[in-house]
Amino acid sequence: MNSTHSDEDLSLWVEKYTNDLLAYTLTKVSDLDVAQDIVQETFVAAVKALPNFKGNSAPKTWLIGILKRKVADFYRKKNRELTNGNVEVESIERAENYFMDNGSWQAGMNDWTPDSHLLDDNSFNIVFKECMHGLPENWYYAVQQKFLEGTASSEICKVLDITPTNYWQIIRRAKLHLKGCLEQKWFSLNK
Amino acid sequence: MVSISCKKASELTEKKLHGELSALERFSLWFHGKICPPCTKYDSQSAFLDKSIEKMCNESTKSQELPNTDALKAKIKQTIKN
Repeated sequence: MNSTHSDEDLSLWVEKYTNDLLAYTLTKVSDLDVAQDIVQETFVAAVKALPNFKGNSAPKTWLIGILKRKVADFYRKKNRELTNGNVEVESIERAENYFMDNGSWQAGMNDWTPDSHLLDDNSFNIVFKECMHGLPENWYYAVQQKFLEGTASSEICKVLDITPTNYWQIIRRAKLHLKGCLEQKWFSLNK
Repeated sequence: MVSISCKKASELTEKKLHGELSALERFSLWFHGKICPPCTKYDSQSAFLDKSIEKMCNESTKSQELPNTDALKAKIKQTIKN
């Protein structure tokens, strides 16, 4: 294999690997525009890093490595924005509204029984997907990563740059958000 | 711990689903469940939500529907040329 690569190689790689990189990014972020930006940033970073790429790994593997760092950068930046408060604050409030001040459930908050047949119901799955996409970006990442590539919670904390305590709060609130969304958009309409 | 609030129990439920409960946490959650029907119900709802998330993740990795990426590729090539 050549030990040096040219900018022409990179143009070829854009043609060859953009779809794979975008598909991978869409398992990490929910928004298509964001995913496309991350793929573009990955190639921009690859141009700068190209002189150091000696071909020890396959180009795609090398690009995915850069992409992973870009995804982590995205969530780190998101976290900084979120600590200044906005969409996440509203979602936190909604989740915590399930509880009274003493930490007990508000009355009548848990009165639907899950039915595993629902998982085979297309209309339900569409509503569920909508609810997932209503989560703040970093919550979406946290809840789904557990099921992708078997990511351990410690690894997710590293990407999101959060402590384990924060992680469990995010998961807890994300699940309450999904519960509330389904109650509103499915269970109250399909009793 | 042992005596915990429903709010705390909802957190431990998540840890349980991730298989990351300590022995004390496991006992506290079990004990709380004995005296709190709404939390027992939430426990099963949360497990159901996990199954739904898992199904969505499996399907999205299986049949990734990508938009046409020609415009994106052209844009990237233009950007890296400059």
